[in-house]
Amino acid sequence: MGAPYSSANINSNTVAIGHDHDASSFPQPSPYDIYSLGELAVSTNGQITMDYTVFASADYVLVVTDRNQFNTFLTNNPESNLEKDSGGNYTGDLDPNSNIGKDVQAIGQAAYNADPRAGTSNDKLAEIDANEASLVYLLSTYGTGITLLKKDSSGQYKAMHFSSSTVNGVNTYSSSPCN
Amino acid sequence: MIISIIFVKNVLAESSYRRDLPLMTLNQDTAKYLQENILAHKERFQNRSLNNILNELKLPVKSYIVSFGRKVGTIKGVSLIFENFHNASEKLHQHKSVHSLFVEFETPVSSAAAARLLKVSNGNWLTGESELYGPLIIKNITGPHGK
Repeated sequence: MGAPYSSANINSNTVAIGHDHDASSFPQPSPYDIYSLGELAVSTNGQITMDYTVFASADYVLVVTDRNQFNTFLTNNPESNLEKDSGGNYTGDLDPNSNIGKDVQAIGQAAYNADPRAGTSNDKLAEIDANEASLVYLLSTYGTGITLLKKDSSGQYKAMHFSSSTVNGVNTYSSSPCN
Repeated sequence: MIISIIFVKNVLAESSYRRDLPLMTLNQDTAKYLQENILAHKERFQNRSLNNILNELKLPVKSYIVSFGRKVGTIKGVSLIFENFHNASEKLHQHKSVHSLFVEFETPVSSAAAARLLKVSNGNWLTGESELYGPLIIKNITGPHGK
C-alpha cells in the first residue's frame, strides 16, 4: 500500500477513510474535510491519517503528516473559521468573514482570474483548478501538517505543491505535483 | 400610553441609525461603523438589492472577493472590501485583518459572468461590478464572527 504514496509517510498500520462529493461539487476535499481529518488523526492518536476523496474526474488523498503541526494550526485557526449556513450546519467552506477565509478565497479568485479558460466554455475547468490551488495554498502556507496528494494519469499519487509568480505585474497562482 | 412608548422607541432607533458619522471617524473605526450601520440593521437590507447597501455606505467599496461556495459554476456571494484588491490581498497573505462585509445573494451568480468582470477589474470594484451585482437581491449579510 505504501508504494504509490512516495510523497507521504504511509505504512501498513495506516487506516484510511474515504468519501465522495456529488457531481455538481468540486472534486477536491473541502476546508471542512481538512479540519475533520486533522481532528480525527489527533483523536485516534494517528490511527486514521488519510482521507480519500473519490470523484469521476480526479482522485485525491489528504494525508496528515504532522499531528503536532495540525494542533498548532487548529489553535491558531479554530473551527470557528469554518462557515455555517443559516441552519447551523457546516457548508464545507471557510467563513468568508474570517481572515483565513478571505485570504484563501482571494488566492482562488486570483488563480481563476489568471486562467485563460475562465469566462469561456471551459470556465468550470478553470474554477476547479483555482479551487485546487487555493486548497494547496491553505495546506502549505498555514502550516496545517496535512498534504494533498492527487492521482496522476499513471495511477501514482503525488503530493501537490503551491507556486506563485508575477508576469508583467500580474500575479499567477497554481498547484502542481511534486516530482 | 403603550402605543406612545413604542412610537418613541422607534423614532430613537431610526434617529440613531441615520446619524451620519464624520468621515474621519469612519476611517478610524471601520469595523464599528459597519457593525452599527449595516450589520445591526441587516434586516433592512435583506430581500432588497445590493444597491441599497452601496448607496447607504459612507465607505466606498473598492474591491471584492467572490465566494465560489461548494458548487462548480456559480458564486454564492461576494465580500465587499474597502481598499484595493492588491493591498487587501497582500495584507491577507501576511495574516493581517481586512475589513469586509459578506453578502450572499438570493440567486447564485454564474461564475463565467463573474470571470468576465474579473478579467477587466482584477478584483477591484468598477462600473461593471455595480451593474452585475448591484441589482441582485440579498439573502444575508454577515461580518466578522458571522454576525
